Amino acid sequence: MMLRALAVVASLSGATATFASCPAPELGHVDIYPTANVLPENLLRIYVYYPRPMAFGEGFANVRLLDAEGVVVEGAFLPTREELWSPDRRRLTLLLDPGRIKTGLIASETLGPVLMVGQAYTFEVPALAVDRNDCPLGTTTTFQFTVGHADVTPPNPSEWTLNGPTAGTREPLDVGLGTAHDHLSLAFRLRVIDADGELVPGRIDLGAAEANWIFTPHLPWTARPYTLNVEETLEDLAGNRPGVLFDRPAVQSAIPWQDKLPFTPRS
Amino acid sequence: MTALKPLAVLGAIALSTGSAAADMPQSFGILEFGPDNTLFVADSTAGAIHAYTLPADGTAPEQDAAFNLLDVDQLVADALGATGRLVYSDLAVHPVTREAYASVTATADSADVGAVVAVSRDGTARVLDLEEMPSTKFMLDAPADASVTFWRDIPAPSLTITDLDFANGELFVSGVSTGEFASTLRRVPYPFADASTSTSIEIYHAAHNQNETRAPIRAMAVVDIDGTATAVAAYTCTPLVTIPVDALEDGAHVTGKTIAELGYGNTPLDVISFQAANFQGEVSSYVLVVNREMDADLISMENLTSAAAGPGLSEPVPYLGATSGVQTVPLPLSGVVHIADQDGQFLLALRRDLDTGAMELVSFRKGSFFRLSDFISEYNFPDYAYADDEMSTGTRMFQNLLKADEGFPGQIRQ
Repeated sequence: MMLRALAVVASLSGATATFASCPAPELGHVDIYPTANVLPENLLRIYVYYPRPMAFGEGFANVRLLDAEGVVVEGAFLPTREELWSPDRRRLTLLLDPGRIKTGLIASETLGPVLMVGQAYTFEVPALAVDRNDCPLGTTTTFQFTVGHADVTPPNPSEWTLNGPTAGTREPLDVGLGTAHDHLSLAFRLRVIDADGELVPGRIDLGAAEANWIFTPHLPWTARPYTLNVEETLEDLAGNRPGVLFDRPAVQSAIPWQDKLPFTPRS
Repeated sequence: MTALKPLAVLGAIALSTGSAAADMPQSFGILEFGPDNTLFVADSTAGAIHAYTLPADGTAPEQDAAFNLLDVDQLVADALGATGRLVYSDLAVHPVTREAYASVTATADSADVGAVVAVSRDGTARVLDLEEMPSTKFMLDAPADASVTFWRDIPAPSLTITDLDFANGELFVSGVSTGEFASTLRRVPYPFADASTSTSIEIYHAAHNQNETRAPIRAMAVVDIDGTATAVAAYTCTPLVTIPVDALEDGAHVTGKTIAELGYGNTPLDVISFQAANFQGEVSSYVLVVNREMDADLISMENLTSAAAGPGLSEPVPYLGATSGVQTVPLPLSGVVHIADQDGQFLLALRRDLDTGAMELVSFRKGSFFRLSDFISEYNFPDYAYADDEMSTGTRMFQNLLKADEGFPGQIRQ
């Protein structure tokens, strides 16, 4: 930490040459998930996608959560010894302290939840965040949202709507999820399987606020039946899973849910 | 209701390679020694565990002796030929030579340089030439099927390995997913085969009112409790949980028994088990939890056994900062980043000097669990006279022992 800080100070004080060789500030924009403007009080995760591989050990120093007055919300993110980077060091997973999300937890009752219902917040990735070449991003990215009531309804695939594409076309299958879901879960925990049990190749897009899962097959749909398979680890924005709330025991309280949604393209 | 079986389990594969030249770890994380000169290196970036067969030419030291290296950063940086910041991911002790093996990454250059560095008591540091060692590899996750693409570049959720423990022919692997919030404990047989088992674990967090959690395990050790191989696992903020290994069947959901709440606002760094003899030569077993924000917690096997046999905690702790459960002894191991069982008489630690920031590689005598040279007290004054009574003589003898341990034989007082 110390050496890193010194390196940054050094490059700020003297060597503009160091910055000159860094990517241009307009290339420093980051993407932030979730994208909805209203997020639940019990939001579990914020993901940051950086434009290039970032320095290790600086993840927490390089993000801030500000309240409506611009004051930093202290202790918002769960510190972990191993920062939760993707292998390419371009995505950082930030867990909002689960100790302050779970109902009944002492930390939750003493410190209060991180996010307060009805309040506005700004999540900020400052321009000084450094990549692994010690180059600052150069652009501050902010994401503003307000906080709605806690999401205490687990994902329920039985209530999803499937638009039903037409056989012989590559019309997208549009699945209405009803509420926002975790974008990583939507990328990896839902798959279309054909009548032979084979994975259907295709492209996944997400609707606004990650509330629609849109699948375009690489090859036209056949008129045979398909299923949309849902893994049990699918999570919504609050970490709830099908049949299981985030802060309730899965072992005792899991309720049955439908993990295969059948559909047959219209002929 | 079982959905798609987790791909991670279906897809876990073992690969054997004669030489690791083309297949070095992409990141250097947790270290663990196994049988027959095996060193396991966890590679979270690639989602892999490498098993290296070290040369069998090491000899045991003639006697147990302490490490007193007060600036290991310089030694490691010189060995690596790297400049800049060093991150130590783990520390392990070679079971024969008793050398320190540190998993290190130098991060200041444009590309990270990772390595396992062996450090001897005399301050010799060498980078292990892993490329030349026979090795095998176990992949924890199958690569995602590339036939499904996404609206943008989305790396798959991956497991950041938080701990490894080798016991009874198996590796136990705990980790934090960058995607799902989950507690998964995997058992990987060694030598590596194609299959591993994966169990999701829930705990009762006694700082909750009856709520349980699938929080990830931060550190763990598998120990024998009353004849039963049992994982002792520590979580953030800081429940301590026991899970009999037999319960860890593939696909099972298991509830661990919470035997202690060690305190809020803390991340456990290491859980180790070790044996220590008292002055009468009687050997006892202990479990030690080293914490990032708090005192370390020493737990006798006796207390651990009775807690594991009991009902576990079922009542919430009454206030923030309260602790409950198994009786622990707080140890003054502040600044310790990683700790390992060194030999019969010492624990070995990487410790950050809180004033200078220097990384030390130092031993702590079992039983005392502190270093006399950390302190200046009245005993240090040349004109201090130890009294002639039994207690003062005992203090003097013990301090002489620690002075010799810590490299100050000239200060031994007769």
